[in-house]
Amino acid sequence: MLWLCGGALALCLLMVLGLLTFVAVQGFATFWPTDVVQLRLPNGTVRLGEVTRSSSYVPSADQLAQLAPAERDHALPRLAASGGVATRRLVRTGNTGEHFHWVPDHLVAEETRPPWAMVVEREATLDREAWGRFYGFPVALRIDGATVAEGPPAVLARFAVEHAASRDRFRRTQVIREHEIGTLSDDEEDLRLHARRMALDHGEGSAPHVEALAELDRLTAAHAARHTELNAEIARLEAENRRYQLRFATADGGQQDLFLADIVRAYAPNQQSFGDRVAVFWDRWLEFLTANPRESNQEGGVWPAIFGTVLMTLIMTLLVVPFGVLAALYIREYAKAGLVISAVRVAVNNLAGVPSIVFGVFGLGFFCYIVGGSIDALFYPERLPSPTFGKGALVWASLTLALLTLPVVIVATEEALAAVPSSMREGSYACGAGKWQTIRRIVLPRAMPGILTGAILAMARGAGEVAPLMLVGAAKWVPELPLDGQAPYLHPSRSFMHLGFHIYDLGFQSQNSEAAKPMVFTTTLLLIGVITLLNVAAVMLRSRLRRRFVAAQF
Amino acid sequence: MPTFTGLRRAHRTSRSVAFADRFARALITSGGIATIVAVATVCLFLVWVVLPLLRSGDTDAHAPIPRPGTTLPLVLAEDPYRHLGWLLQDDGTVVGFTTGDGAVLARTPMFERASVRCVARHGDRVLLGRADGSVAFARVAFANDVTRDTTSAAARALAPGAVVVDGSDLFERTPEGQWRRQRLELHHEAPLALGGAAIEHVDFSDAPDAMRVAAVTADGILHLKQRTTRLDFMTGEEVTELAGSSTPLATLLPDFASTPPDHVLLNGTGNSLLLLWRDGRLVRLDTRDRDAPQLAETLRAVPAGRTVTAAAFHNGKTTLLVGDDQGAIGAWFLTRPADVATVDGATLQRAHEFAAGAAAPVVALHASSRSRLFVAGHADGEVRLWQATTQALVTAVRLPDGEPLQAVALAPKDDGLLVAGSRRLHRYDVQPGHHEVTLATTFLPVWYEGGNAPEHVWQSTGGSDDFEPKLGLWPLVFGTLKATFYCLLFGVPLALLAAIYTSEFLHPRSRARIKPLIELMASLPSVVLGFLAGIVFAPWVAQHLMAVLLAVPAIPCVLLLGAQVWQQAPPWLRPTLERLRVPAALLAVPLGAWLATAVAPAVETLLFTGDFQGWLAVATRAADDPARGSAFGGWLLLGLPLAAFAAALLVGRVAGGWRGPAANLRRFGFGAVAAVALGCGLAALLTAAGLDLRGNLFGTFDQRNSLVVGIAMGFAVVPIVYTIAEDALSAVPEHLRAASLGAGATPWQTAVRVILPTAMSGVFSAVMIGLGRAVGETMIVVMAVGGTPILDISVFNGFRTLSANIATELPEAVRDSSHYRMLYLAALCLFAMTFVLNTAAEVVRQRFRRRAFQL
Repeated sequence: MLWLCGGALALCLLMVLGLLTFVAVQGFATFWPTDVVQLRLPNGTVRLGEVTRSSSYVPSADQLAQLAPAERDHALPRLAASGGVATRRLVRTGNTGEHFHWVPDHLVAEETRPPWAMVVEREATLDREAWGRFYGFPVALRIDGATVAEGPPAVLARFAVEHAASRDRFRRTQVIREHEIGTLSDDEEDLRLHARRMALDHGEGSAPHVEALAELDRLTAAHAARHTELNAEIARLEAENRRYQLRFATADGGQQDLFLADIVRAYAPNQQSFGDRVAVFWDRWLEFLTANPRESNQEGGVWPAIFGTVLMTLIMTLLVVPFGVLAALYIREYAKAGLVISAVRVAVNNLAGVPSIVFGVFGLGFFCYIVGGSIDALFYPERLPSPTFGKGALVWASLTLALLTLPVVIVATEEALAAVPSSMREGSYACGAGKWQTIRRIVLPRAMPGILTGAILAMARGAGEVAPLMLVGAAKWVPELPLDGQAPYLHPSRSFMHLGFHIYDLGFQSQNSEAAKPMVFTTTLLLIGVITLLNVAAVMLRSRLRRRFVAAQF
Repeated sequence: MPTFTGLRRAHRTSRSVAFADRFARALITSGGIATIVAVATVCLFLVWVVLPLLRSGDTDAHAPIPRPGTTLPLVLAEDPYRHLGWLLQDDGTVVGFTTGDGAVLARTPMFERASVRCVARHGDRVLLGRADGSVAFARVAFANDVTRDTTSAAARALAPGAVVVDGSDLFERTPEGQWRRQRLELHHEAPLALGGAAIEHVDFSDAPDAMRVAAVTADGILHLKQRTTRLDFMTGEEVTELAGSSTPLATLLPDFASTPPDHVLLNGTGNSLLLLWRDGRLVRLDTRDRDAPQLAETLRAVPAGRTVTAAAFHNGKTTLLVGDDQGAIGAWFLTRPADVATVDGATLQRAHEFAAGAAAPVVALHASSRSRLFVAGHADGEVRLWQATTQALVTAVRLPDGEPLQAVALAPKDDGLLVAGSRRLHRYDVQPGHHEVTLATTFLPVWYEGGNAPEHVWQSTGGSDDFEPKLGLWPLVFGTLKATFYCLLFGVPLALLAAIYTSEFLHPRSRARIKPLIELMASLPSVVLGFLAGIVFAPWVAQHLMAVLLAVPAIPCVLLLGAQVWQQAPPWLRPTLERLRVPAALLAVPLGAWLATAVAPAVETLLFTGDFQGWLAVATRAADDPARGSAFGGWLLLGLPLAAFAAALLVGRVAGGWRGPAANLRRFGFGAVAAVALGCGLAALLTAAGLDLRGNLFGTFDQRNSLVVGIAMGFAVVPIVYTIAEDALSAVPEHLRAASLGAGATPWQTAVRVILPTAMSGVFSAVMIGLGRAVGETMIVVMAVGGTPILDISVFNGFRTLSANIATELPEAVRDSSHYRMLYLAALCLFAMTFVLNTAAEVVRQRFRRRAFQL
C-alpha cells in the first residue's frame, strides 16, 4: 500500500512534469528551422517539405491491396523487413491544395535533402493564392519579367537586397489602408453620428441637424481628394511591388513565380549553420511576440492577444484589489463578529468555488445587456441599433473577472490581516493611535505581502480564465487594439483578443487545424509561462512573508 | 475639576486624525458591504432572469365589438398586426372588419348558401366542398404593402402608430413614418368535379411537393385525389387537375359504412386519412398510395360515454386534437413503436390529455401557426389556451354575461385571441409567456410530437421553421454528473494516496519542493488542458486504447512487484533506500506503462477478437457474427480491480499468519493468483449469465469520450484535492503521531488507523471541493468532448455538461427568449450544485478545525 501511495505521488509528478515538458518541447520546436526533405515515391510523386511528425501503424490488407503494382513491389519487402509495422511521416508540402501529406516510409524510393531547397513563408498581399508555406528551388529573380539574377547563390544575394524594399512598400500600403484612410473614415463616421444625434435630439430637418449634415457634406467633399490621393499611392506602391518576382522550381517539376512582397521570410535550411538557424528561430519568436496574426490567425504573431490579456488583467486587478481589500478590512477589522459575518465568510469562500462560466453568464446578462444597454440608450442613441457598450467589451470582461477573483483577494487579505498579531494592534492603541492610524501604519504594512500574494494569485487566475470571456468580450480577431493613439486612447467598449481564447479558437475553430497546431503550442507555452511566472512570484512572496513572521516572534 | 492624579489630558485628538478615522470607517464599511452585496447580486440576478419562465400566461380584455354578420361563422381569422379580421359565414359571405370597432370593410359573397356543404381551411387557403359533387379552392388573405407615401388624405393625417379606414383599405402609420396598407383579398379557383353526389366532408394537405384532397360524398364514396397544375401548351393557360382514386367506404370498412363519418381529416404528409365519428370511433386509413387506400387501424378517440364535439389538426397537421362533450381534449399523433402490427408500421396514440376541472363541451379548436399553442372554445363561453406538448394551461378567459361561444381564433403572432360569441366579437391581448417551459418539462421526460414515448431531450435549435425547441435539462445534468463521476474515479484515489504519502512519509525538505510543483498544476489554465486533451491526448488514446486501459492494473502491479523486490534488500541498506522510494516509483510508473503497451496486442487478440474498438461496436454486428466476441474480456477488465481488493482481504484472512524466509513473497504470490482467479471467475460467471456490459457501460467507441475527459479533468482536480487533503493530514497534531509510533505501530498503521480517521473530515471537504471544481469545469469539456446531449453511461462516448452547453449556446441565444432563460436556469443549477457542495465542505472543514484544535 505504501508503494501505491508513493506511486500515486510519482504519477502526479510525472503528469505535471510530462505536461510541462511536452508543451515546452512542442512550443520551442515549432520555430526551429528543420531540414527540408525530398521524398520520391515509386509512382513518381515527389514530396518536398518539412517533416512535422511521425507515427507508426499497421497497414491493413485493404490499404496494401489498393496500391499500384509498382508500389506494392516496392513496399512489401520493406514492410516485411520491419515486421509489418509501418512508420509514416507527416510532410508539410505547402504550395497549393493540400498542405500536409502523410508519407509511409515503405513507399519512399529515394530520400534526399537538396541543398538549395527553400522554405518560403508567404502572405497573401498581391497574389490571393499565395497562402501558407511554399517549398521550392530558387531559379531566378526577375524584375519586370526580365531575369536579373540566375542560379541559387546569385538569386539569394539579390533577394536579400530587394526583399526588404518590397516589404517596406507593402508595409507602407498597410499603413495607408489601415491608418490614414481609416482616420479619414473615422472622421466622417463621427460627423455622421453627430448628424444623427442632432436629428434625434432636435428632430429631423431642424436647424442643428441641417447644419450637421452640411458639415458632413463639406468634410466628405474635402476628403474626396485625399482619398483619391491615397488610393493612387497604394496603386503606385503595389504596381512597383508587382515588378519583383522570384521564380521557383517546384518539386513536381513545375515553375512558379512569387512576388517578393508576398514573401515574409525565405531561407534554405539545408545550407544553414547552427547560427543561421538560431537567427531564424529568434526572428520567428520576435515576430510571434510583436506582430499581428495573419493567415486567419495561423501564422504571424499574437501581439494583440498578449496586449489584450495584459490590459484586461491589469484593469481587473485595479478593480479587484481595492474592493477586495475594503471588504476584507470590513469583515476583519470593523464588522462585529457574529453569525452574519461568519455566514458572509462562508459565502465568500463558497463563491471561490462557483464555476467561472456562471460569472460569465452573469456578466453577459447584467453588464453587457442591462448596464451596457442602458449606457447605449442614454449616451449613444445615435449608434443604435448597433450596440456600443451593449455587447462583449473590455470593460465588461474586466469587471466579470474582477467579480470572479474577488473571493481570492478577500480570502488572502483576510488571512494576512488575521496573521498580524493582535498584540501589535493593542500596542498601537496603547500609544494613542486611532483605529485608522493603526490600520494604515501597523496592520496594512505587515499584511501587505499577503495582500500582494492574493492579488498575484487573482491575476494568475484571471489571466488563465477563458470560459467567461467567451461570453463577455473576447473575440477571435479584432482589428484595433483597445488602447491606441486616438482619443480617448483607452477604448473600453471594444472587444479584445486573449491568449486563452486564441488557443481555443485556433485549436477548435480553424479549418486547417494541422497548420494551426504549431501556433497553438507556442501560444500555450506563452500562456503557461506567464501564469507560472505569476504563481512563482506569489509563492516567493508568501515564503518571504512567512520568514518575516518567524523573525517577528523573537 | 481636580483629578485624583493631578494629570490632565494635555492634547485633544487632532481634528484631521479624528476626521480620517471617521472617514475611513465610513468608507470601509460602505465599500465592504457594497462589495459583499455585489457578490450576492450574482445569485439574485440569475434568479431574476429565470423567474419569468415560471410565470403563466396573461390576458387583457378589450371591449366587445358588435358581430359583423349574424349567422354561424365557419372560419374566423385575424391579421398579424391585429387590426383586421375576417370571417366566413355559413351563408357564404366573407366579411372583413376592423377589430378595433367592428366596422365592416368588405362583404363579399363567396358562394351560394345552397351550393356548399363543407369547408376546409389551412392558412389562407380554403377548400369548399360543393353540393354538385365538385370542390373549389379559394384564397382569402390580407394583402399588405408598406409605402413611403400615400394618396389617401385620411392616412396622411395619421400620427405614428394610429390606424384609419379609408374605403376598403386600412392604413397604419408605422413608427418609422411609413404607411402600411392592408386589405382583404379573395381569389377563387374554378370548381373541380369529383363525382355526382354532394360532398359532405372535405380536407386537403398542403405538402410542398403535392397537394392532396380527400372528400367523402353523400353516397359514401371516399375520393382521394392529388392536385396537379400544368401549363396547357395549346392555350398557354394553367390547368388544374385532380387525379386519384374513388373508393366506396363500405369496401374499406364494412362495419362503419352505415353512418358516414362526422370528421374527415387528412394529415400533413397526406399519408394518413382519419375518419372520426361523433360517438368516438376513429379510423385511420393508410393513404400512402392514393390509388389504393387501406384500413390501418380502428381506435376510440374519446372514453366510452362521451361524444366528440370538435376535432382539428394542430399546426403542421401531425397532431390531432379531439374535444369531447365534457370539455376534455386529447392530442393524438402517429408513433412507431417496435411491436406494432399495422400496415404502415405506425399507430396513433393519445399522447396528451388536456382537462382542467369540469367544463362545457368543446365547440371550437384553433391551433397557433407558429408554436405548440392551441385555443379551445367551450360552449359556455370559456376559452382556454393550452400548450400541446407541455400540457400546460397557459391562460383561460370567459366571455362576459355567459354569452355562448361559436368560434375562436388565435392571432398569427400568438399575441391575441379573437372570440366570436353568439352576439358579439370579443378580443383579448395575450402574453403567452414562456409556455414551452414548465418546471415539469425541465426535469421530467416529455412526449414530443412524433416520439414513441416521453423522453429527456435537450435540443435548442433545429433546421426547419416549425421546429419545436426541446428544453429538458436532465441530459445536461446527467452529462455533468457523468463527467464528475469519471473525473473523480480517476482523480480522487490518485490525489488522496499522493497526499497521504506526502504528509506522512516524505522528508519535509522534499515535501517543500514537491508540493508547490503540484500546486502549480492547479493554476494551469483549463483551456490548456482542454486543448491538450482534445488535440493530443484523445487521438493518442484512440490509437493506444488497450494499453491505456491495461495501464490501470499494470502500473499498480509493477509497483507492488517492485515493493516485493525492495523488501528483499538487506536491512543495513534500508535506511538509504527509504529516501529513494519516490525516484524508484518514478521509474516504476513508466515501466508499468511499458508493460501495458507490451501486453496490449496479446490481450487484445486473446480477449477482444483482436480489435477492441470493433469488439465495442457490438450493436453493428449480427448475433451470430464470430467477430462479435464474448463479454468475458470486458467483465475481466472491470472486475480485476474488485477482485484485487477481495484478494487483499483474503490474504489478510488466510495468509496473515504465514511465517518463514519468503513469507511476504509467498503471500504476494498467493494474492496475485487469487486476484486473477477471482477476476476470471467473476467474469465467466457474468458472461455465462448472459450479461453484456457492451451497449451500456462499454458503448461504441468515440474519439472524444468520457475516458479522455475524466483523465484531463483529473489533471484539474488532482492538485486541488491533493493540496487540501495534504493540509488536513499535516494539521493532525504531532503528539498523536508520536504516541502511535511509540506504541509500536508501523508508520503505515499510524497513517491509516490514526492520522486518516482524525483528518477524515478535512479529507472529505477536499473531495467535496474537488467535486465542485469538476462540476463547473467548462473549457476541458467544450474542447475534449463532442458534446451530444445523450443519456448514456458508457465510458467510451461523450456527453454535454451544463457548463459546456452554456458556453456554446449562450452567445447565440436570443436575449430574453425561453432558450436564453433556460441557459440561465442551467447556470443557476450549476451555482446551486457547487454552492451545496462547497457549503458542505466548508461546514465539515470548520468542524475539523475545531476538532484538530481540541486535540
